[in-house]
Amino acid sequence: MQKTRLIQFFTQHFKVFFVCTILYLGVFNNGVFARPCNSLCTLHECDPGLICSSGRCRNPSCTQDNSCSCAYTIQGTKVGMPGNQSIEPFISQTVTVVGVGSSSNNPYSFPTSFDKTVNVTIPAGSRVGYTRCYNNTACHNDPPISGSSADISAQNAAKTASKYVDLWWHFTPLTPNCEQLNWPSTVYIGDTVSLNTSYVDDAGPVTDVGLVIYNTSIGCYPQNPPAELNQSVTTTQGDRAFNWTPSAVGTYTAYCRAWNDGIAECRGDCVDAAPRYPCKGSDGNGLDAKKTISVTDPGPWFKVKDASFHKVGALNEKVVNNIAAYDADDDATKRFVTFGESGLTTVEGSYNSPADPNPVPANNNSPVWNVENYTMNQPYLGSYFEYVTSKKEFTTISSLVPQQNAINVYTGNPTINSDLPNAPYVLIVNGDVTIDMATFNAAESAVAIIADQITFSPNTTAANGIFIANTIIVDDTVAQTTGLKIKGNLITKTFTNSRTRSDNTKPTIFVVFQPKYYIRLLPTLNISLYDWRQVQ
Amino acid sequence: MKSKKQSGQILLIVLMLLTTALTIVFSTAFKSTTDTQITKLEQESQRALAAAEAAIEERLRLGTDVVIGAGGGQLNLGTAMSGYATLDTSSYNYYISPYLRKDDQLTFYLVDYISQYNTTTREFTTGYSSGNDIEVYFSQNPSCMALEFTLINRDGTSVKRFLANPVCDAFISGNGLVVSSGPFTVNGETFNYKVTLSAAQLSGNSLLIARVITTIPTLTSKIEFTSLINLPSQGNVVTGEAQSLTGDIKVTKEVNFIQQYPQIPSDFFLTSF
Repeated sequence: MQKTRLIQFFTQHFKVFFVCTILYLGVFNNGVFARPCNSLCTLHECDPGLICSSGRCRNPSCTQDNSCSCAYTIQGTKVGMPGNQSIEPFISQTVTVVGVGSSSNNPYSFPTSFDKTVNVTIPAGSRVGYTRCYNNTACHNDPPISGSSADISAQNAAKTASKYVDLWWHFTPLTPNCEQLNWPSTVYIGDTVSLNTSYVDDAGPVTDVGLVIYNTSIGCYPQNPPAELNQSVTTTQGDRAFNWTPSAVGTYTAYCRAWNDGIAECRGDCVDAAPRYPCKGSDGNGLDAKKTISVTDPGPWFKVKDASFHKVGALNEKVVNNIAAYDADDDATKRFVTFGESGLTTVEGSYNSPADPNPVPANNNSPVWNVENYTMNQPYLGSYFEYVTSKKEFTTISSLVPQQNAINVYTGNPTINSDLPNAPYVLIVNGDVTIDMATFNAAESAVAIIADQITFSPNTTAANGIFIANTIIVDDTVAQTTGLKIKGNLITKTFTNSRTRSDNTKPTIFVVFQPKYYIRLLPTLNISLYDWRQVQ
Repeated sequence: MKSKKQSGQILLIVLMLLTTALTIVFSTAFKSTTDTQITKLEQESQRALAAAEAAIEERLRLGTDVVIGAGGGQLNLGTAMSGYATLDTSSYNYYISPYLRKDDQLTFYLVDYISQYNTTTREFTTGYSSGNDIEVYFSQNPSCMALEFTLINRDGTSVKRFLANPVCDAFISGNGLVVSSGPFTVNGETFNYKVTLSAAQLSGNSLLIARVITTIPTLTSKIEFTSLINLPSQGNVVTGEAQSLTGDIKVTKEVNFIQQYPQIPSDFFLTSF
């Protein structure tokens, strides 16, 4: 009896329990009473998979999303640091959204939903961090979070109508840095230039430093041409100079190099692939981690010894730093317009303006004596013939045989190809003179030739005497191995030098002032000064 | 009938009128004579001056002293003129140059040109050896100028250069010799600046060439050289004197003519191209 009652008790209560359970499951849980996404709810009325959040049925992964789909877009850009630069090899790294896919596009975009993890590949010799903005793009100048993997929260991404996360990857090469310190823009061929460079620790420490120079027309990487200069040394950060002596005219590009040994190298902007990266330089763009240098030939130049010198026109001599002596009368340590017992240097125009790469000082006086924009009075230079024929005793000659110790006047356009006899003499030519012999007046006798024009032919490499003319021409057609040396004096208002020489470490025109000619010609090569004074 | 008293009065009046007339006539005549004398004086002065100059020119032509007068070997200018021209061999411890212009240069002889320049070897036989400094005065108002000095030794085998650059000539870069600022009045000439060339600097040299450096195109200035002892002659000085002997008028004129020893123009000395 008791057993039956017990069975009946459990049976009745089980029925009630069963009915209640069925009712609960059917009505209150996806049964007759379940609520869809975004519908109002109190506690448990939402459809399966949804929860009641803030009075609405929502997907628990994105309770702010009224579509309950938790769909959003993962988008972003890969950049190099500093400055968020769109540069290789960073922009072509692969971004992978776990469970979705991979892309090397830049920018990239992945439609997705729910929480995700995003990874990125890292080129050798660099590190990466990320900036992540949900539904805005304003965070990418903030300091990146270090790491190559970023978690994305659907909760944050899908909570606004825009539904995206902007995920940038910021790559930093683990290189030191370098920049050029006042490298020259122009160097003369044969000159040794010191390229002073600054090397500093940066994302990576300095372990080695170097400098490489390529002919610009050939290029650098990936052509990998032979370098004009490629030097390196193991050292730590600091300034270091590398010397370069260019051997050919052309345009070259020099790049500084800095290593973080075994990890990465920066090399101007001449790189092929990681772990070689462009150097930042001082401005982050690397513009001063390289420089274009033009190697030029300075061309012919002149030098004057023991003289006071007046330059007709402007004076802007282009001279290599490492000069050589013309001959035994020259001094290779004296890189001046005039040297020895030099006097005042006056210049009709400007002096060394604009300054050439290697401006030449006027003379070796201390301080230097020079005047620019100076107009010189030279009344006798073009009128000595008239002066002599009206005021001095002279001899007229019809052939080139001057009278000794006299002022000889010859009319014509003679070519002198052998020494004239009877020195000392003054020869005034009413016409043009051509000197066409290797060495005129090799005996260095006291002679003075005054003419309208004097031309030194290409055959003439030396002439001894005083040469005075309105116009003096040093004629030539091809580059010579020697220049023209004048021992005595050279005086003109119009000077034309067509002579060039293959070796421009030596002057092309070399004038050595010789006072002895003036002593020996004193009775003839002179003017008279008179003074009258009435005393009573 | 006229009274005696009336005749006397008439005579007095006539005498007074006559006196007045004579006074006028005599004063006019006197003025004319004076004017004539002044004109005559001027004419004689000009004649004497011309005669003195002519004597100098004749001296230079002949190379020997000249006497103005009649007869062989003399300059015949008539009997009313006398005089002479002679080479002045006096020496002084100073020398004043003619006026120099911008870029002119003066060739100053440190030894006597006539006796020391060998016309055969074409060299000087000696150089400066007096042991005394030479002071050089330059720049006369209103000018400002610098001087470049070039010293050449007796045979022309060496040259030395100096620059005297006063403060006013700031256009020249670089300093040189110490320049003293004046004014300095020396032998009747006034200069703004002075520089001293020491005996040691000058020793052994025969020529001192001074070149005028200035940016003032119209500048003219003399240069004066002084020393404690007499300086070498810088040229031929011919003194000509002439006296006009016309009537009671005697006019004497004296002229000095200085012909500098050979001067090397800066145009032919300065390397220029």
